Amino acid sequence: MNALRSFLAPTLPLARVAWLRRIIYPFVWLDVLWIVTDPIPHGDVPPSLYRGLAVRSLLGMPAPSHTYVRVLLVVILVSSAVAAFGKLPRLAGFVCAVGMLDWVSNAFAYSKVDHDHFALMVALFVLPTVGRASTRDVDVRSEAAGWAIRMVQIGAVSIYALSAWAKMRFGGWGWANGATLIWALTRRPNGIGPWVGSHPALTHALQWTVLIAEFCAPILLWLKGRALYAALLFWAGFHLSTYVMLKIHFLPLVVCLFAFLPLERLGSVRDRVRGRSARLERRDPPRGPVVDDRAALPAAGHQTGAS
Amino acid sequence: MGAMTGAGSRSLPWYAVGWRLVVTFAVVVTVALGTLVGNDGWWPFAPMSQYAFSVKNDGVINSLTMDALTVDGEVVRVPLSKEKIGIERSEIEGQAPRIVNNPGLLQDVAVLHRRRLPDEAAYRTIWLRNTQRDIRTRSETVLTLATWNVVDPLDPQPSGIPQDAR
Repeated sequence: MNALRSFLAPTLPLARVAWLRRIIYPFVWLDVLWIVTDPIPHGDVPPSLYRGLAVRSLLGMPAPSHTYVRVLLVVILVSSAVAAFGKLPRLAGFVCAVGMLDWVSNAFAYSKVDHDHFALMVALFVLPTVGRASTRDVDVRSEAAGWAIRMVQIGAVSIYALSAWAKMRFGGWGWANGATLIWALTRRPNGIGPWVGSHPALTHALQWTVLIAEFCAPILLWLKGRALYAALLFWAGFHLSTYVMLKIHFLPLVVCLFAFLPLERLGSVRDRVRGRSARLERRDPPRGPVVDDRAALPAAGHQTGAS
Repeated sequence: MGAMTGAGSRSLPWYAVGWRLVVTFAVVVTVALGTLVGNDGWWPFAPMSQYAFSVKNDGVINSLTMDALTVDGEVVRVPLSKEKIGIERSEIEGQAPRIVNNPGLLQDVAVLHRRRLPDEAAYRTIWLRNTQRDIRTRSETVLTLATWNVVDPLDPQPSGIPQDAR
């Protein structure tokens, strides 16, 4: 039981949650304004083409209308902005999570469901559970932070691993030797895509590579150090190549991969940059009234070191 | 339990650990079941099934398109995208069996077109078509799956077909 607890809720720095919020919540803006923009036009689609989803029926979310989707957009933008600045982390975070559940399920309620948002939805629902977290909380380790981070990681590897299982369920064990990639490259040609699509042996090799990597993705939960970074680099390269060949980016999943990184170290990078610019200022003091900045600088350094 | 590792460590009380373990178990089991036995209706626990289908090396690639005869007498390609008409080709593909059963759903496409692109010529007739491309020979065959003569093309009203109609 203790091993399970320390695996699912390791004590991790609160600062990592604070940094992850600074990545995830701004990404929500990118998501609703650039990636999942369907809900706004869906507000004009006659209801007979609305198919709904179980989650929308369970939560009483109505078929989208012209005004509804615009109000929802404002709610999401405001709540994610508040949460990104670390204010009202629980309230703003949960409002943003429910708003995004409505928004993304709207996008998928017309017979086309993507699976790139699972980890992001998990992240949006678990990040508020941590409560207050500052990027200065580098040495304040918490199980609540560890569980939230772990859930985002589990969400990300679930997408990869279950993608492989779905290929076995729907495509069969011969999936990797088939022409699925050629099909995709034919429908969405981009960059070197058509050249790749004209080499069936190459497409088979790529399909085998992806399938094996997806099956092995849960290993990410146990990897550390360079092995972890190498695996993350592989997945970053994979997503970059699908974007180059097919214009499919999976960014909502990619941002969740940041949960595997020691983001709390960004604080010391920031302090070093600030310290360097402060030293430069002392060497070349500005003319005019003398401002004593010694009070501010040691305080920042002290807090980082002692917390 | 190993949670208290220093002055800066914050352990959770037993009930807080308890509900987190229950949530973790529920999420992992549901998402796994979603892919193993579920369907798209289970979202966010739906099967991770994008590109999971198999295409035979000597098979055909289906591409769905929609064409329309405008009130100006011109045949145009219906711009199936969220930026233009407001619904994606993939969404129409997902509803293609419904549209074949109820061609009246194409009336709603005409309504959407008037709402979203009012400056374009209105649609008088709409065709749902499928282009089959042979991977080996690269030859193409176009099939018309459904045809609809729009009721009142300049001011079309929604079909009113129920959402649960298949």
